[in-house]
Amino acid sequence: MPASVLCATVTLIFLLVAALLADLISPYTPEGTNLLARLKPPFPLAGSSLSHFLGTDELGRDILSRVLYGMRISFLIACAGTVAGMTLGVFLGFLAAHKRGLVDDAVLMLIDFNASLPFIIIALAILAFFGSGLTIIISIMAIYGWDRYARLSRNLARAALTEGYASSLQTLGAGAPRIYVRHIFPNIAGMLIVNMTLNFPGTILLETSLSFLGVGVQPPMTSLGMLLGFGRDYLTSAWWIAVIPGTIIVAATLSISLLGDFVQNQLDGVTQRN
Amino acid sequence: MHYAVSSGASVTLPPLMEAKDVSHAYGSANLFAKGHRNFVLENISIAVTERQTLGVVGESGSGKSTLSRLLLGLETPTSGRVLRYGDPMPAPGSQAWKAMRQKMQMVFQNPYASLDRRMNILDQVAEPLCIHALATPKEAREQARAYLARVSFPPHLMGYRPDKLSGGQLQRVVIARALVTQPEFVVCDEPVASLDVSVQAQVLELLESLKAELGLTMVFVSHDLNVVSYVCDSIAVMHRGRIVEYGPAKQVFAAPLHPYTQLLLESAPGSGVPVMENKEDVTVSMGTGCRFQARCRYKQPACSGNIPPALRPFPQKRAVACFNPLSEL
Amino acid sequence: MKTLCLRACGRAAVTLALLITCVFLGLHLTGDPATLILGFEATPDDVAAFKLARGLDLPMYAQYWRYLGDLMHLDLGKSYVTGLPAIEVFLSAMGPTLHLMLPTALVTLLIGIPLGIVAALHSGTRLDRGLLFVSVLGFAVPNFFFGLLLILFFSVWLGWLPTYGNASWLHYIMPIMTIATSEAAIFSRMARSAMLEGLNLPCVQAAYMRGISRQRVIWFHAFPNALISLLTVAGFFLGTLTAGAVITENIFSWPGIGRLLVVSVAKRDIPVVQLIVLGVGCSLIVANLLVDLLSLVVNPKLRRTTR
Repeated sequence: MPASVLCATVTLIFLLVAALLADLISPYTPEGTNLLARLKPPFPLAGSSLSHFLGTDELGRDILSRVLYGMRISFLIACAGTVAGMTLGVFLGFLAAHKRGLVDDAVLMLIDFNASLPFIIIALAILAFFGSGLTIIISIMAIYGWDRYARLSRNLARAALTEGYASSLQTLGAGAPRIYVRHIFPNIAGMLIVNMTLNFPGTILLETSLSFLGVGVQPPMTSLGMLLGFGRDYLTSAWWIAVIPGTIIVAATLSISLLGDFVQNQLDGVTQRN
Repeated sequence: MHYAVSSGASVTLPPLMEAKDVSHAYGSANLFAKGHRNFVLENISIAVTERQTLGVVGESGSGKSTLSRLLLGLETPTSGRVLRYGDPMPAPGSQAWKAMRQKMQMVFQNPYASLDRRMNILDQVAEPLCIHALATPKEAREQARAYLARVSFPPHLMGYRPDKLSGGQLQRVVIARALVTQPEFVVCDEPVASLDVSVQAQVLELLESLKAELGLTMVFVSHDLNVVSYVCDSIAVMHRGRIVEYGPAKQVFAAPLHPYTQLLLESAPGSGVPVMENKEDVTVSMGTGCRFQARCRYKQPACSGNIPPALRPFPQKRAVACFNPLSEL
Repeated sequence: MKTLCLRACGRAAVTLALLITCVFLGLHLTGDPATLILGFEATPDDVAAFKLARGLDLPMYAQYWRYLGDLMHLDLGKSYVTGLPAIEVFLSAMGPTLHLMLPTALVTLLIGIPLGIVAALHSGTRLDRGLLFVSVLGFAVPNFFFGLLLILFFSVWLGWLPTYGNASWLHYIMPIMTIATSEAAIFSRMARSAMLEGLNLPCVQAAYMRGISRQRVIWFHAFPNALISLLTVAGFFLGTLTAGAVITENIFSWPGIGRLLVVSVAKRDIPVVQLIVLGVGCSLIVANLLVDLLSLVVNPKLRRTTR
């Protein structure tokens, strides 16, 4: 394993554990204001204190605590969206492979359509039409990723159905649910997981972009993108309010990208060897 | 009316499987381009009687795999009828069709591809019993174990996944899986083509003994006449969607009537003659004389006429579709 | 050739029809437009009159038909916020966006193509791997964060560049840098693989064999082929460029389409939002179609491979 991948894995585990344990390790509540300790810089800088390790914002809220909770929301949305997108995509992909003909054409048309517009515009339109909320945002993340899973599962299922184990199961008299759920899905799960890791950074960036623009996650919830968006107004007086959540977004997306590429290369190697 | 060929004695009971004047085409079902339909089978009539084994021989593209899929009821022919004990086959996907599946099984050419790589051997052999609700999972495993033992599969490998096993072992697994529901009709589609020559004989012997022991009716599809003549009672030779020769295995093998059969025999592996490349178009066009004329060394003016030679009866329960069968030369 | 062109047109038409239908359905699922527009204090009579005037009492297919007619006449309602016709608001924002996107596209090409060629000519070396890392980094740093870092550095600490608006040429520097960095990161990878493909073409290899100099082979044989295959990703490039513009305009308060879109979404100014989605969607679909047709003309390979 190369050093960069090792580094990425450690960073990722660190961030995930921190997000999971946000309740336990955050020193303050994310909404707790302290007007006596406003705009404190992060630790090694002049005027900082260890009690607010990453500094405070304009209302004296502890940035470390806010970032921990923001990370939790951002990761939660990205995970839920990715899983929902995979479910939707795999379902439509299997449906297209199973029904063929017109259904197949329709699913392929939808896939093409999804790829024909920049997704941020589709996402903004959905937010305008339906308003904002956690369910809507997760749905948007699901729509963002579904097409890749659909294409992948459609092609793999078709291959299995034409000349593989799935066609032999049909001959044995197995019904569609058994073939797809018990056989094809476990067989393609590896590739779906790789696709998930490749899709994940894009999903996080989409959510943080929308929240940064102020139309994603709404207060009192916090997300990394929203923290960054608020920090923009204090760039002149307190740059750390924006820079700290931004750095964490970069660290998370970069390490997942590196890890995803690595896993994919490994898997390609395995399939080539067989 | 086409001459129907029938393996076995003339009995009053209808044969187990029978194809009557069957033609089949694969059309391209495209929304934008309405492609013309390519006939891969034309006016096939054939019957398989109980406890007999019919060999179907031909090159790739001759339609032999399509014929076996039609006989299994996996597809419905474009025209003509497929009958089982004289009754039409149920529509694919229907309840009756699903129930029929346990009585009709298939052994595939490539055992690697036809097994699920992520499931262990025992569970895969037990699965048909679970599909048809013939046993509880525990009983199914017991029966699977018995059948695996019957095909001489090593017991200590039953918990392994397919990628740990050899081709011969996997083909035994596929055979056990086909037999575990006690079918009456089994199609073997090139069952030994992907195996090493040393293993081929073992698998053929196994099939031979199982056939006798379980009273199976079989269709044995292969491109190799030697293999077919070893296992089968009768042989149908197919060329570009048609049966060109039919007869008892021994006679066909000893004295072929059709030049194509002769060519197959000569170019069989081990005969020393190089396999002749099939340069003909695999899709069949209608009404342009004999389809074999381009490669036939006995070609005569009549062969390129408008009418292709019909399958006509010959002594000793044989039949041939040729204007100048080899015995008359 | 003719069928391929027709097929490309057909695909564009289907995509366009899907887009219009989705927007129409989206409009209908937003809830009751009557209360959205008239406000909650409207009397039932007002609502009924409004519905009659807008044709909201008609069955769905009739409304859809009517909607298509409105689109034909570019009659897309008035902004809820300003009361101006949506089409005017849209057109006035179009100019600044195009002013931003054109130079950005140019800068992206000027950075991306040379970097891609350098990486391809040195493929497998340390230089290639270094460029790969830079491009992964460029992709992982989101536009909105990179833009803020630029503001922090050039405006807050150095005080060189203005941060808001589009008044002078100085205002263009940071938005262009923001978008072009991430775009060039992706584009240089595409240019690299296109160039590698060009270098490995049999005809290019044959040119080597004939004793033509390396420089000449690279620039007169491999490079034109690489440009032709890069043309096929032009549609994708336009899409990511648009997405970049949406984010970046908001960082720098650029008075363009992206800024207008986000402001309208926040205020749920539906007529403006739908017009932007349709307008941007149509432009991209048409641009993609033109790229497809152009590719068919200049790239004989595409004509052969697809039936």
